[in-house]
Amino acid sequence: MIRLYLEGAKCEIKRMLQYKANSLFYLTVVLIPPLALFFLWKTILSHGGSIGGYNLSDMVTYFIVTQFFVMNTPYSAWIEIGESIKDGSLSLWLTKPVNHYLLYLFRLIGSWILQWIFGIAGVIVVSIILKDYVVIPKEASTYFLSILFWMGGIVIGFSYGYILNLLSFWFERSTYIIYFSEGIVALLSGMLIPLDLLPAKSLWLFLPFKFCGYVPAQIFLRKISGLDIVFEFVSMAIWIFVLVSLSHLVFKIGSRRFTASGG
Amino acid sequence: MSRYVIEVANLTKIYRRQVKEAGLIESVKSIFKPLYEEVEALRGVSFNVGEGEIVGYIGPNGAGKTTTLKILAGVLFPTEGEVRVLDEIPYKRSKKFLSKVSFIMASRGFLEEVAWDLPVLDGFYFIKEIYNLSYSEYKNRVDKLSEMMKIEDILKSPVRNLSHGQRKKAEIVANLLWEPKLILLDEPTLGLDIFSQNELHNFLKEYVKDYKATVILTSHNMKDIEKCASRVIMIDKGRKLYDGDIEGLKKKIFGRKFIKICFDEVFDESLEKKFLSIEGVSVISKEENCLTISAEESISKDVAKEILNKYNISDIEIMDPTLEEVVYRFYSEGKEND
Repeated sequence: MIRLYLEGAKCEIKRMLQYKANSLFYLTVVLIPPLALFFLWKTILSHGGSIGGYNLSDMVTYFIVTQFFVMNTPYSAWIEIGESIKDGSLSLWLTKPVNHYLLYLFRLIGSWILQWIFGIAGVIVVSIILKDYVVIPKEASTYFLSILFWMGGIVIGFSYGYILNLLSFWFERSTYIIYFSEGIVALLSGMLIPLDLLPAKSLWLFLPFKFCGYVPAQIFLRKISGLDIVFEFVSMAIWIFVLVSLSHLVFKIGSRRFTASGG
Repeated sequence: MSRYVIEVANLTKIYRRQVKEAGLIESVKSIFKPLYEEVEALRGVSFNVGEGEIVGYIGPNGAGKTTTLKILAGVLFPTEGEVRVLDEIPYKRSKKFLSKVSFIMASRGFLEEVAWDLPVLDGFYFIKEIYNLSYSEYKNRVDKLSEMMKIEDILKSPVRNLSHGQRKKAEIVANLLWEPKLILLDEPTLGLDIFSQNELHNFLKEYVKDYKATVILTSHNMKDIEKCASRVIMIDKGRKLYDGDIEGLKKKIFGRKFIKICFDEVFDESLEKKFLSIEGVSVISKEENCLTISAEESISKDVAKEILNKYNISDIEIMDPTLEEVVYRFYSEGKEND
């Protein structure tokens, strides 16, 4: 059965290969924000020292990693799901024996793979430019665990966006709800500032968005280790279960309201 | 197991839609107090369809045709009534049900959705994976259906580069690759030229014969119905008005024959008046030296004989009205009676 969803991802990869030049420009998106943040934090920490346990190297590495992880979580394609409800093209999938959630998850992953490749190239370029400030772990397990949590973060981020898009079953237009939610994810994933530096951090660290950027980056910096990783893993698994179940429930209830407008 | 492929009883579908007057103030008002109206798209429609039937499902715009198809395909939930398709309840969307039904929509296509920038074959391959077909099944079906539909030469072209007609044909092939038992076709010849229309008609009849499939076909093009369907269901404003064969419809609704008479010379108005004075006869159209009249079926032979005996004519032809003429008359009379 998984072959069907992999084929969905493959179709998207083939489609994106038609737009190679567009994907190449994505490099600039990955390159510029970490460089800008580097100069900001270099100014803040110009006299040495650290903030909340983060020195300049930690900050630079943190932002390179979170920028890559968060910006490469396929949020922007969420909107397609809501539009398909509004314009009636959801009918194409309702009449096929497919799991709509999995289908879109795999299609979106497929559509982002090319950008991930360019994203990794961007990370390497930034790391070379800022080589004196970047912490590069030596253990393969650190990379493995960071990527594992990032993948969990993708499922969490996608599920959250999927549920918001399904609001189109109830609302005429949910575009701004989705834009607002993207802002929430950007803040609460730790992309803009490490979550443990925010006030009321225990609340933000309870929410699932931390897995989209903050937790993978903390593992990369080896600020989380041992039993804490196990705890975070269990917490992530519970959030995935809750959000995936909720996605299916909302789809089931919402599709009863579907009016399939248009021919 | 039911002897019918489709069983529909008292099917009703009511939509709720927002309404508002024109103007900025009304738009602001609608934020605080939105108004809704209920639209009865279907009102107590009942019919059964047996295996291997091709049924033309016709009616004017907004009659409820596409809504019926969407309910049969499992896309929409009915408000009231019972629907069973292939012994399943469509809106439950079981995998077994979805694997046996194909819904080919008028304006949206699967290939456009998944393979717009890709060759047609990539879209077909996605269908193979969705319906879990073996490679040999997939290959044989693509070869056979592409040949039947005459699209072998476009299989490697990206969907976006195809003409509307080519895309439509490829879409139909894509939607038949899993050999569905029921095909729901919404306006299949919309935007197709007459050659493509003919190819589609032949393809459809051949497919049904080979695969014993059942087809429900909606179309505003009455040629689709006349050439493909053995039975017609007419609806208007969500109600069923007729269910039976096409000949029966022509007799019931029209009950007339057309007689086209061509004279040796241009005829004058007095001649036209003479024909109009015969009871049960009306003039349909006039050309330079030809006149088409319609006569009640019971007297059409006598009228023709009288014309042959009394006038110098170069040609005479007795014709049945086309389905289009019957349907037009049927609905326009209905409107007058409203």
